[in-house]
Amino acid sequence: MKNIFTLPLCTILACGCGNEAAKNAKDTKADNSTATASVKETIHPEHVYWGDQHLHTSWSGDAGAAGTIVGPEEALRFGMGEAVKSNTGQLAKLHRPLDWLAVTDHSDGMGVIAYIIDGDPKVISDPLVKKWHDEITSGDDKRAYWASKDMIKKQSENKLPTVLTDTNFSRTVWNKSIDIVEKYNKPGKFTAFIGYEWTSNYGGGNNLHRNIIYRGNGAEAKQMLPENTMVSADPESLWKWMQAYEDKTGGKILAIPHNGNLSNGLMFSLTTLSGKPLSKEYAETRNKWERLIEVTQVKGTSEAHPSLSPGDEFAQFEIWDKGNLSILKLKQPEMLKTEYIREALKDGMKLEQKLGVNPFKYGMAGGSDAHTGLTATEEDNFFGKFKQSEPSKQRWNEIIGQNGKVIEKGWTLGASGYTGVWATANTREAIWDAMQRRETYASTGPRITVRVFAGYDFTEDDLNSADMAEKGYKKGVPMGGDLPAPAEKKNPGFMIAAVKDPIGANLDRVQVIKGWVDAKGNKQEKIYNVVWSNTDKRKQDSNGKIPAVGNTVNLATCEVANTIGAVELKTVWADPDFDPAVPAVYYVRVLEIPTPRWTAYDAMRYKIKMDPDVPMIIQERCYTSPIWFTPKK
Amino acid sequence: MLKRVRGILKQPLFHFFFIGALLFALYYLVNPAPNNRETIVINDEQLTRLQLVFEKEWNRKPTEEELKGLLTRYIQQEVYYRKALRMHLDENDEIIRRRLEQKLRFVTNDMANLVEPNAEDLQKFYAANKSRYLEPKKYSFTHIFFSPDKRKNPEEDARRVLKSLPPLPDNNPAEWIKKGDLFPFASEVDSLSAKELDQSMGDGFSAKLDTMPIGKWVGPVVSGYGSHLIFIKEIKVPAEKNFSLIRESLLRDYQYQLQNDYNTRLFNEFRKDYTIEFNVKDPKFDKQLLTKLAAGNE
Repeated sequence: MKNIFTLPLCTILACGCGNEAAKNAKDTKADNSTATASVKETIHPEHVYWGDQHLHTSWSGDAGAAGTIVGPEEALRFGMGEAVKSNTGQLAKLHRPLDWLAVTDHSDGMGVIAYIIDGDPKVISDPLVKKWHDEITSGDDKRAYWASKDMIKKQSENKLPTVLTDTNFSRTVWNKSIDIVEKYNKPGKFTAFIGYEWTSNYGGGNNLHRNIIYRGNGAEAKQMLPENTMVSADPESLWKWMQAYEDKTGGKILAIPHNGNLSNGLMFSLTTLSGKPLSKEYAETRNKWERLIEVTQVKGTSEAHPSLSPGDEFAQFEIWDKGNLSILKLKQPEMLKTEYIREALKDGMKLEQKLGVNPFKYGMAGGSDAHTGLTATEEDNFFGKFKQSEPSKQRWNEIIGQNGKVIEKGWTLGASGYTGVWATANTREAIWDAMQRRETYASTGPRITVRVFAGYDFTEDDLNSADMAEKGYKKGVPMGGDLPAPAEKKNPGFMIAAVKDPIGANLDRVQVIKGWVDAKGNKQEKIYNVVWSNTDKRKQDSNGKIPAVGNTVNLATCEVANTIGAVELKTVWADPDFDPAVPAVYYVRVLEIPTPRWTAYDAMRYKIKMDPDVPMIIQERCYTSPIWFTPKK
Repeated sequence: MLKRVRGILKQPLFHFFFIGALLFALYYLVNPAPNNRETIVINDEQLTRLQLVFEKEWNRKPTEEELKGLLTRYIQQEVYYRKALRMHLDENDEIIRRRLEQKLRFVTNDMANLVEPNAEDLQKFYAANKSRYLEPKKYSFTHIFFSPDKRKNPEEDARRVLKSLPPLPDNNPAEWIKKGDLFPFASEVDSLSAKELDQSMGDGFSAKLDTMPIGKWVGPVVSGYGSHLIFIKEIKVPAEKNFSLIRESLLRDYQYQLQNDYNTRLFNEFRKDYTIEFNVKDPKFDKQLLTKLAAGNE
């Protein structure tokens, strides 16, 4: 989609990569350096590039063990829109290709620490490694802790014994996967990112996973092996590795955490994992490496929890709150407070008042987290999480997690997770840079186009002009940005436009979700319905609520009539409750009209009747990256 | 008493002995003559290999102690490995089956990537798959948008406006855009491929344009957003791409196809060594179903 919210066609010929990347490009013959050089970058982002930053293939240990045979090469071809044979032998194809994809297989399993623990003579002939081995296996927690700390230290200082950094198997796998990714990265056409997942299940199943996305090419990425969690499951150790990577290679990487909902309170904990209060240094480090958060994916959505946001009638959406990963430990209510993103955004501002830096300044991303090699998360084309949840008559009823009587069934999986990126070109560099400045949004599936700008001088004319985006950039900041303080006493205005997916359903409404910390230091939130469809029939009440849009789903045919809702919803909305003395965060949520959930398609296609508690209808949605306002000290 | 038995049952040590006993029982069951001693031969070859692997990592020969360590580990693994094989623990283990299958496929894949095709091979592959590498069909047009958000019957309105537009070739179609509603994306589309056009306007949009005349206002055409009147300026037909520009993609796809070919050919080759025999007696598999299942699988 060229020229979205039309910008003048002034494009510049740019290299599409920093000098560093250009230099490295020469080192890999697969990196199509001539093509990179000729990709046009626009001055402002004109185009949403859709992709998945989170996909596992048969090369992930757990996926391979569970029967996945689709490898990275097939996964990339599938993302580009080619037909691929699925793990259950079904032919699979995306309705529409993606613009970019990151294959993020687990780094654990490529690692070498298992060799240390086993005392493999290949590695413990090194005296330092021998010492670590003795400490870890001493049976004394303190000594083992010292050893792991020492490893992290040596690792961050790049002083790991070479035997550990050069163990044949992990390097072979890592290099092989990079070679494949390089073959499929075609600047301007399809971006294939180098990446991996750092899979920390801290303390047993507490999900602190992060996807690492590389800006650079294979020659750069091959210089270091991915970090694994056997060294340490604490993200602080990952950040040290990230620093070491950038120091060594001059490249750039970022981390995207996911599934706060399965972290049992640890994802946005208000202390460090070792129990210390968060420090300024901690906040700076986290803020530096973690620019985006994956808000929605196949294992549930982590935006908001109904118990934390009782006033939000749309918070009950694909919620997974029975326990942590695989329900190894059950959820306790107080854990919910520090694992959902809306709460973290508010906590981040509170922490910033104390520390001077916001550790939870996250933009929004979506991902599939499919372990099938197939990034297929459309409701009518959902290929599940594992091989066992590929299309079949019984997948809705399979037990996918259990702890005693608490059971998670297949139908709770969500067909969810893509990221829309407002970038200046479809290249690694341009898309990565947009992620870095958080000009992104998450979708639960549909490719809805959403623009958000915040400023103090937006008018209806700006909104209705043919160069709306140009005005947005000129007079304000886009999603992911910081709203500066007003020059005079003025309330901030938000210029918002959302357009339906051209092959999807109409839009129900656009909401601005505001979080702030009041003068007493209490966290607050409010949801504003700022523009909605069918206004002739739907009037706002005194609490700001509007009636539901209705429902046109025919479950017998899985068809939706676009007789309700709107093609486009746009507005300039000024915050009526703005207080320049307190910090605030704003993000936009766009809702579609109700459509059939993947379970409805299964029920229709396989002619089966599911239990009455299985949801058949869904209101798909997008979450934009927030815009922050921080008062001047 | 019962409590005590339960207590014992929960002891890890009990589990250890219990599992141990089971393993041995299994072992003797499948190995009726347990006293076949096997010999693990350590010859020059083995020792040299252990040494070489070490040297490759360390750039020096292992010390006597290190070599002893390597050897101990080697023997330990070999004993476990052989014992497990003797107990047939490898059989019907889904993980091992998958791993071995994957390994064999890795081998064939690597073989495909070793083949650097010469120019002639690539040209041949190109000739056979030309349609996949064409410079795509490209569309340039101006359109007037009629939104269902703003009108009761956008198609009808579009028809009405069409009558008021100049019937002859129009030199400045852009001035008519205001006769409709503001389109959220570009009203003047320049050189978009069929794929891009369908992605941005909805399925089948480009195919609709294919049937329309160029150089005059036509419509209405329905998109994913509403109705449009269209003035097609140009539809560029697919052209061949310069060979040098697509060499990398060609090579990649050639090798991918080769991989699949090798896999199929090797499989067919392996398959020749096996006859599949159906020996199914359960009446729940009726004859007809069996014949169907067996078709092409014997």
